[in-house]
Amino acid sequence: MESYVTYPHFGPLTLLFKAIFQELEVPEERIINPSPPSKRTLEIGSENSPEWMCTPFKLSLGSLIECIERGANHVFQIGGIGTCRASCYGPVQRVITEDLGYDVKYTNIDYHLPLEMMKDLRSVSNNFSAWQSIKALRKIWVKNYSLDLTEHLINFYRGVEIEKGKTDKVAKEVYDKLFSIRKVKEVKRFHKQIPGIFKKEVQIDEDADPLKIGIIGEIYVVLEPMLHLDLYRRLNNLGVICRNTVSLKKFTDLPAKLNPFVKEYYKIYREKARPYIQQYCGGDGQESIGATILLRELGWDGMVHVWPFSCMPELSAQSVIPSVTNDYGMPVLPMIVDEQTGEAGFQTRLEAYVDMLKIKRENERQGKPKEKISWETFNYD
Amino acid sequence: MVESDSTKHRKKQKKRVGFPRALLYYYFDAMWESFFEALGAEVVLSSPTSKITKDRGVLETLDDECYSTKLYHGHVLELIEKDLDYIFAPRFASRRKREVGCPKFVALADILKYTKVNLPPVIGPYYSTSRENHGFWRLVIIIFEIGFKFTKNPFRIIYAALKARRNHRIAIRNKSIDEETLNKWENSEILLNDAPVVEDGETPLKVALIGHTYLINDRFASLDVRQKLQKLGVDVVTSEQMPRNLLERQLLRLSMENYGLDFSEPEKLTKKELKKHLLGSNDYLYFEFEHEIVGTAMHYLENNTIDGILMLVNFICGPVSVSMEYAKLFAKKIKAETPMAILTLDAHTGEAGFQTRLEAFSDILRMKKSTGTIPESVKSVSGSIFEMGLS
Repeated sequence: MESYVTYPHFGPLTLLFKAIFQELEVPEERIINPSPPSKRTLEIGSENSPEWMCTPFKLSLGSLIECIERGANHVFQIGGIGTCRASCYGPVQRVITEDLGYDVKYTNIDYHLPLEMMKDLRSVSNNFSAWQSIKALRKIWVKNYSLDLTEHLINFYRGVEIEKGKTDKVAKEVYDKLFSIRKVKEVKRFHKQIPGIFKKEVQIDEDADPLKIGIIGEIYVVLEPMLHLDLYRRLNNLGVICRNTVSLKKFTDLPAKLNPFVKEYYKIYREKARPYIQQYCGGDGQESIGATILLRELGWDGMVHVWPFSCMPELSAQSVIPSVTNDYGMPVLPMIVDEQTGEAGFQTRLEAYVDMLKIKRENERQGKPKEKISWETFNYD
Repeated sequence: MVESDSTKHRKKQKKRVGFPRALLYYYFDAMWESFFEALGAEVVLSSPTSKITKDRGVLETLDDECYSTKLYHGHVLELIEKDLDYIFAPRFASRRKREVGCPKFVALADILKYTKVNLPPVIGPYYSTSRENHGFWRLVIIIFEIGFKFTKNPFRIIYAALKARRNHRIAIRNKSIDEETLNKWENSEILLNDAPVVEDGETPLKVALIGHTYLINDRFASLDVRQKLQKLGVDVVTSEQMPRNLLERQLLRLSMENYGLDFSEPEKLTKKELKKHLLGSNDYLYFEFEHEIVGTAMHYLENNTIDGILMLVNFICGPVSVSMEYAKLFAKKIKAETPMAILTLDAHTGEAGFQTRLEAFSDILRMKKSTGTIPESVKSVSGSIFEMGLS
């Protein structure tokens, strides 16, 4: 039986997953790419999921079912031995799709073990040797750096752009260019040019004096626009620049994992969080706390904490976050999302939060001059 | 006079350690108690769950926290008033390579530290085999770290640890029953609990009571379900009593193609054959405390040797949402005949509603016992699975 591979939709990273299969030389017609999730996707997903399961499970199931309906029969999903429920997505979704009558093969990838992950991916490749597949995947993690950078740039420029909509246009061009390049060297060269492209193309209002808000929370919700209801765009439209604090790098950045001199970003967060939550409690619980502290030290104004209803690690983090707010004076807006979250309520709360942050900033500043904003002062990597 | 003074002094010296009577306490009660007592500490338990515990716990926690965690916070609040030297809240993550507990257990000690005022120092050892590869030496470190808080004598610490291990093993042996006894019970030869109340000429119903140990053994949280079932003429076996080998067989099924239904005893296959039918190493239910829940449910759904299955779940428990789904879909797959009821418990569950549902379920079971099938009129959407929310 010919296998038609598919994978769940995952925000902007969907492009990356698509590229993985392209690099492994799976024929184009045998990759079923998920379309951006709609209301229907979420509905199918939550109809067939356990009621109390977390929302990312429901959305990814819906997205997978849509792909299976279009002819896919080989699913790539998360599996293995995890800490929270994220690692049983694959096994449980296998049982559910089997119950729905689909004959689908599942390859469950354990993201805690990068080498195992590579082996699993190799199995679909065009008879690649181990070295060939490492070379193919190397392009992916290099592209992942650029993808992260572009995301940060978008969320910065869109908040302060003068001509509305310009950033999105530039971003689309950058994405197209990035995923048309096949050579690693050229990707690396292009990576260095990306900030320049944005600087040249998008005119920004340097005296806008925008608020700086960080987004923390569960990785799927932070990255998937369908679940966070386009939170970044909403904040940008309110004249705020924002930045997400999670990245797929946590799992795929093999060179940083093998290099003892590089400290990965999530380890820095976890060290900061240690006084509050001592040990790894699954998901992004510790990172949420660490990022709050780190961004406060860098002079940011506030945080938005998004997590799916019934997420266990983020719930632990949220229980402690009021103390972090007390100790560091960093406001955090908790936002629980699920399949029934309404847009209007979401927007109102964001607007109120932004207004309150502005008042807080005025009080703290006490007549000090405003800073001129630029990408160089904003970026902290 | 002098002597009594000195004993009084010594008594005051005895350090007091508090255990909240919730969550992990129900799994490790014998171990923890005997360890701290052998170290020379005074063990202070919070009183059994009551309405006051619940109300205080609910006020203290976030809305979407699970019911059992809410009760845990209630117990801690009670302990704070008891003038303790330490409170014991281990950061327990996992004890086997491929198994983990609930992620909430790891952060519990920290959450207590930051949400409670006047909290005594927390003893919260971290143990995680799956993530940090902890093993024997980590245990030794934990034991001595805790031990030196209470005594300076290392031999006493070793003695306490050995005693704790022994008592833990005895407790586990006493809790579970062997396969032979279980067979006898399934054949209605013996009863496992006090004789249930039945009318003349009727035999007691046999029901498997499935749920987390900390839920079904908590009389308040489970609304005294055992007593209620006994009055309805039901004899129960609980999931914690089940023989381990039966549960492990069902777990193996779960990671096999087609639930391994082609083999009656999949664990007896050779490694090579087994590998052919396994779905891969990444397809495994790794929540340790769900094993008994899924295992028991699947065992009885498959073997059809008892009258019914009653699953008690606490609201918004994360791991249970997975095991419930496994059990339900397995029942659907094999078209199970044994009726299974899933009852959800939360802070707003009323006693009357619970009683009504138990009565309805036992009526269905009696109907099935006398006629052989469940009447069409009482069948649920999914056949013989009855899901009931309670609030």
